[in-house]
Amino acid sequence: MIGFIIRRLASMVLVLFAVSVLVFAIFNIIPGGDPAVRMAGKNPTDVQIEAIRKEWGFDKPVTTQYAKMIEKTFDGQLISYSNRENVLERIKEGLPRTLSLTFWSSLFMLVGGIALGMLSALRPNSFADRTINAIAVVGISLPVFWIGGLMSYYLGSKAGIIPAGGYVSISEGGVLDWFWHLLAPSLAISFLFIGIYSRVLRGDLLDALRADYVRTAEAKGLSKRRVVVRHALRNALIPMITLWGLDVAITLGGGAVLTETVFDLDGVGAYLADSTRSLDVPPVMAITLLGAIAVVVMNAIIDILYAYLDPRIRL
Amino acid sequence: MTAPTAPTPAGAPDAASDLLLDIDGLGVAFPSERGPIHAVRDVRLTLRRGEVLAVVGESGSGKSVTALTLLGLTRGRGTAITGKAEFDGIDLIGASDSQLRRIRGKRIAMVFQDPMSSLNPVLRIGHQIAEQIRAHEGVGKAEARKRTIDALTEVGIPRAAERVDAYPHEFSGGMRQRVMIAMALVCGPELLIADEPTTALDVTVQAQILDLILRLRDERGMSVMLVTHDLGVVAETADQVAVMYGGRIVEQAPCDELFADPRHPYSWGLIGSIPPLTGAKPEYLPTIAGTPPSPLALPAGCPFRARCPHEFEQCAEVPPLAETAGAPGHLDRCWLPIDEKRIRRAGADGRIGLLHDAEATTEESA
Ligand SMILES: Nc1ncnc2c1ncn2[C@@H]1O[C@H](COP(=O)(O)OP(=O)(O)OP(=O)(O)O)[C@@H](O)[C@H]1O
Ligand code: SF4
Ligand SMILES: [Mg+2]
Repeated sequence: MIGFIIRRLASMVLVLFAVSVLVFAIFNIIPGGDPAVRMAGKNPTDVQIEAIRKEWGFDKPVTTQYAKMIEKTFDGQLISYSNRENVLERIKEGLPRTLSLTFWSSLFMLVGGIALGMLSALRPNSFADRTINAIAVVGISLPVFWIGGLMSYYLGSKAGIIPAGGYVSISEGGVLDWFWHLLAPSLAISFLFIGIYSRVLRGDLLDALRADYVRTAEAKGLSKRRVVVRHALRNALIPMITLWGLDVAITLGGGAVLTETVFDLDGVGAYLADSTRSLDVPPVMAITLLGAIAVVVMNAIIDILYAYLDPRIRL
Repeated sequence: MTAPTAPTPAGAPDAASDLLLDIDGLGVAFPSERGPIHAVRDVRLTLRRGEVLAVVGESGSGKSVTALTLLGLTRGRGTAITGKAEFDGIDLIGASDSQLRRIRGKRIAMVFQDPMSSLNPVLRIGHQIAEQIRAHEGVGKAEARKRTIDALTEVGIPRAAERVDAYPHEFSGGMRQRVMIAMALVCGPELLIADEPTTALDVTVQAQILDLILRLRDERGMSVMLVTHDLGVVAETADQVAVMYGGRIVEQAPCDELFADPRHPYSWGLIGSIPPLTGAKPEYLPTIAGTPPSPLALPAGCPFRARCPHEFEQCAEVPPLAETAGAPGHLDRCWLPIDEKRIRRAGADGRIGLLHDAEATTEESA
């Protein structure tokens, strides 16, 4: 276990390094990337630009600039180029929103994926299976901003059944209102993944149901439910859980950019979208690193879960 | 060859209640895109309490399907199961799933061929055994665990109290098969169905596992249906032998009788293909020419017709599984008259053989 943690920490450092260099390099290379010019406003003089360069350290070698930015990120001193607000403070405001969205969407994905996958696998090629397959194909091919947009417009603005967008925290509106505002965006994210997971689980569960150990379980006289849940499902869930863990990490790290924007959630993902549009490197850097940490940590959690689900795997 | 050593169970003196398993006219057909697969046809088998019945035959002859059908494990969408299979008077074919569930693992237990894949890799073996006890008997966790440890000890697993919490991958193949046997026997079944229980194991381990099954049979008066490819195993263990071919029983006889006086040409081939344990090894082992029939396209008439060197006109009709006068309990499914059978099966060098038996074949092909 200690070896496992050390290996994971080492790989986290590597991943963070690679990701940050990449982000930094991209924003230094792309045209219009010079932040001093943008910050100087319309029709700046060379003197103004030069002054900004000095103030922000853009005249230093890139390696120094990079090192400074990383240092500030971990110090909590990172300042946005476009409005000079503290990036980490801003992320801290957005994080509960993104966390809430991640919580509900990952729950929907997991429950929906397992339920539909089981329904399909227990009656392969039945009407239910075919219907679920059709829904899954639709779910996989529909862009999330489209579903989200439709839901927000028709169910929200027009019909008024659900809020069209926005976020209400538990302390502001109580658990119900909090959930109610997150329902549509969480569902919008989940459609795609429920589609994928239900297909993955269907295949793995069908394989497991044909396995010798399931026949043994039946021959022992166990109830159908126990055979399916204890023996088949437990083995079949392992690949699906892996996918799920990564998808959760991505949503958590600001990956739900479109959903957060469409539903006006103003979380980390929306912040990432805004900052990218205005070529504001510091928030992009911080959020990308946050996402990378989420992926690496989630990966470790999945591996631990894996070892629990399958005792043949050693950490 | 072992004489039947099973003690007669107390309280079952008369012949009628002595009969534990009574199968007649059993047929199993699986659906497929190219029509029904007749895996088992018109199978007739009986098994008395305390006896070991060996079922032998080539791969694909329907042995496993017969065994699985007894437990309802071939049931499924589109599978046509016909005929009679009674266990202690209970109709296994007509029984509901929940009726069968109460019999499975409790009164009829099964051990499978491959102990590597037959145990769930992600559950502790103790859990897998205990859950069976708890499915059938209203006992608590502690009691189930205690009985699990006892069962593991009984089948010869050292340090059972520790090993009970191990996972299947922590055991060798032979030990896993012992675990499977412990699991099968933990609820004290009256019938143990062992489907090639030693095929996947080393030779020395094979003997241990067979000894274990026989010892437990002796101690408990349990009946055993032993499915196997291996006639050597049959000779050492069985009281009764059934030979299957192409989904049918082609011969059934007491073990000694079958080896001394095999009636069906397919049995001659089978018996000819085991190496003698003593004496000089023959230069070649007779094998049976040709391949078994496909259950999708079974030939009309005698199932063995396509490969039988003794085939003649009458074989275009399916021979009945019939008893020869003077030998009760010895049935076979071949049209040849008994005298003819005895003459033909004696090979040129006195061995029972089927192939290269040119003299016997020329006569009939005229
Ligand atoms: N579920 C199934 N669906 C379709 N065909 C099947 C099914 N199970 C068995 N069969 C077919 O039925 C025939 C008999 O199979 P069975 O497993 O009983 O043979 P076997 O005598 O046990 O052979 P082996 O010695 O290889 O175990 C085979 O041709 C097999 O392909
Ligand atoms: S019935 Fe005919 S084909 Fe079948 S085994 Fe006897 S002789 Fe051969
Ligand atoms: Mg078999």
